[in-house]
Amino acid sequence: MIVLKNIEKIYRTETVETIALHGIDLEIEEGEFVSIMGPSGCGKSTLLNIMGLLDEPSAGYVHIEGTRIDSYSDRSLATLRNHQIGFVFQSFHLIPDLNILDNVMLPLIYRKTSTKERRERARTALERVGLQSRLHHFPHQLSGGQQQRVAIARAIVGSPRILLTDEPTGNLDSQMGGEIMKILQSLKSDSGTTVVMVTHDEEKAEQTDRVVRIFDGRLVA
Amino acid sequence: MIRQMLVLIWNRKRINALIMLEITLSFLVLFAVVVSALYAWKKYSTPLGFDYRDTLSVVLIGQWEPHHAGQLKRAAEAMRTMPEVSWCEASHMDLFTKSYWTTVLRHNDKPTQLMVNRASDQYHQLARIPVIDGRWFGPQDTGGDYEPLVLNRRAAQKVFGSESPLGKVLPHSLGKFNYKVVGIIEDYRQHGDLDPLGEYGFRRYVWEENSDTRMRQLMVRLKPGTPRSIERDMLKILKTNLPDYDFSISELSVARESYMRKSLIPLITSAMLAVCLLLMVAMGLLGVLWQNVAQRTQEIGLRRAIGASTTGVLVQISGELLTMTAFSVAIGTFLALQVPFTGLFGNIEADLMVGGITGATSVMLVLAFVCSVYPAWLAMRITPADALHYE
Repeated sequence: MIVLKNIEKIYRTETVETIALHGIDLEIEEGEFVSIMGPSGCGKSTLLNIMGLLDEPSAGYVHIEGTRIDSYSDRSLATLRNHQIGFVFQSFHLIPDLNILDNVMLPLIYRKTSTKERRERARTALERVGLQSRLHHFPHQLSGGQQQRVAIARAIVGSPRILLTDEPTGNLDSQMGGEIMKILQSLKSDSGTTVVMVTHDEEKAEQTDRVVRIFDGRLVA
Repeated sequence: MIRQMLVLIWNRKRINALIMLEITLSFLVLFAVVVSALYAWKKYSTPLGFDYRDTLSVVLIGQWEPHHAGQLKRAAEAMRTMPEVSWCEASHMDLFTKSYWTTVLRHNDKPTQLMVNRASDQYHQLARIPVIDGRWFGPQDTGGDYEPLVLNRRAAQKVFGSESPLGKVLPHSLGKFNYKVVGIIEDYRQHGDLDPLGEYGFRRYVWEENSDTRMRQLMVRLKPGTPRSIERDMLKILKTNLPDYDFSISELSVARESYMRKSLIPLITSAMLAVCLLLMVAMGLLGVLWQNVAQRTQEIGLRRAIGASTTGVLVQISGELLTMTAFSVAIGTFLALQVPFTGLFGNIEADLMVGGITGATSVMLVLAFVCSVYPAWLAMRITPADALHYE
C-alpha cells in the first residue's frame, strides 16, 4: 500500500544542516494498522508528512499503491490526497467559522459531488463517530474529544484507503483517547482502511498491528 | 465551493465587516476621484465654441467717454486695412480669465441667469463661432424696437424648453428694453477648456460715433504665420486713433496656456492627493488582507492536505475577497447613487455616474485581487506540512 524507499529528509539553512530522516525503508500493507513511535524530534511527524505527500523527501521515493509519485504535479498530488488519504492531526485543525457539518464536508468540495451527496456523506461520517446530534454546532462548542471525532469524520468522509494520524490522542484524556482508538480500530476492521498513527503512547501503540520505532531519523525496529 | 465561500464570509462577518467597510470607503473615495477626473476630461474634450488661434486681444486701459466710440470705430477700420489682419472686431469680455457678466432672462415668469457678452456684427466670423439656427445680429437689427440677442443652445433650451426660441421677445431685467432672439450658437465657453458648460448669450455692439456703451476690447485675427512684430504697427494705429488709452496686447493662445497652467495646478494637486490616497488605500487593504491571509495559513495547509491544489486555494482566498469586494462595491454604488439627490455637488450627469461607478468598481476589483493574490501566493509557497504548523 505504502512503500518508502531510502527516504532522506534534510533541513538546510545557511549555516546548519539538520538530518531529520536518514535511509528510511518501510512498507505498509493494505489494511494494516501501524504505529510509529519515537522520542520528540526524532522525525516521526516528518515521516508521516512524507507518507501523506504533504512534504517532499530530500532523497528516496514514495510509492502509493505501487505508483511512484515523485513526478506528480501539484494538482495530481492534490487529487491523490483527496481520494486516497485522510489526515487526523493532534490539534484537530477544524475551521472555527464552519459548523461541524460544513467542516466534515470540506474534502468533498474538491470533488465533483452534489451538495446533497456531500451532506449525506458528511452525516454518515458523523454518525460513524457518534456526533449525529451536533451537526450544526461550531468547533468551540465541542469538547476536545468531540473535536477529534469531527476531525476523524472529516478524514473518512471521502472514503480514503489510507488514514494518517499524527498523535490523535495527544491532546485528550485517557478516556477520550480510548474512544478515538476504538474508532480507528473499527475503521481498520470494518472498512479495511490502512491506518498509520504517530504516537508517544506505548499503550496505544500496543493496540496496533505493528510498531515502527524511529530514533534520530533512522528506523530502529 | 461557492456556497461554502458564502457561508465562511457570513460566519466571519465581524472580521469581514471591517474589511468591507474599508473597501466601501475606498470605493467612495475612488468614485469621487474618477467622477472628478471624468468631469475635467469631458470639459476639456468638449469644443470651446470658438477658435482662439492667430488671434490677439487688445484691451483698452483708460476711462471711457462717449466720443471714444468713434475713435474705436476708426481704430478698428484702420487695423482692418493692415495686410496681416483678417478680422478686427469688438468683444467686451476677456477670454481665458475669470471675469464674467451676467443677466437674467424671464420667460413665462421663469427666470434664467446666463453669462453675456457684447460683440460687434462680424465677431462670430472672427472667432469662427458656428451659428446653428437663425443668424448672428447685423445691420438689419438697427432701428428696431428691440436689442438682438444670440443665445447658445443650452441657454435656449433652458429658457424656452421645447419651444422654438427664434423671434421670441424677452424683457430686459430692468425693463429698459426688450431682447429679441435672432440666432442660436453652440456652446461658448469664455473661461476656457475647463469651464463647465453653461448658458451664454451675445448682445450686439454697434459701431457709433458717440455711445455710452463702453467697449473695452478689440479682437484681431491675424493671417497664419504673422510675426509678433506687427504689434508695434498696431500700437501706432491704436495710439493715433485712441490717444487717451494705454493698451494691453496678448495672444489668445498664450492666454489659454496661462489659463490652463493656472487651472491645472489645483487639478494636478488634487490628482496627486488622490494618488497618495489611493496608495494609502492600497497599502491599507494589502495590510488588512495580508494579515487576514496570514491568519489563515493553517487553514491553507489543511485545505491542501485534504485535496486542494495551490490554484484551488488561491481561487478560494481570492474568491472570498472578491466576493466581499463585490458586496462592498454594491453598498458603495448604492451610496454613490444617493449623491445626486443630496444636491451637494450639483447635477452629476448620468454618464459621469456610470463612468465613476464602473471605474471605481474596476479599480477596487483589481486592487482586491492583487492585494489578495500576493499574500495568498506567499502563503502557497509554504509546504502544507509547514503551513499546518504555522503560528
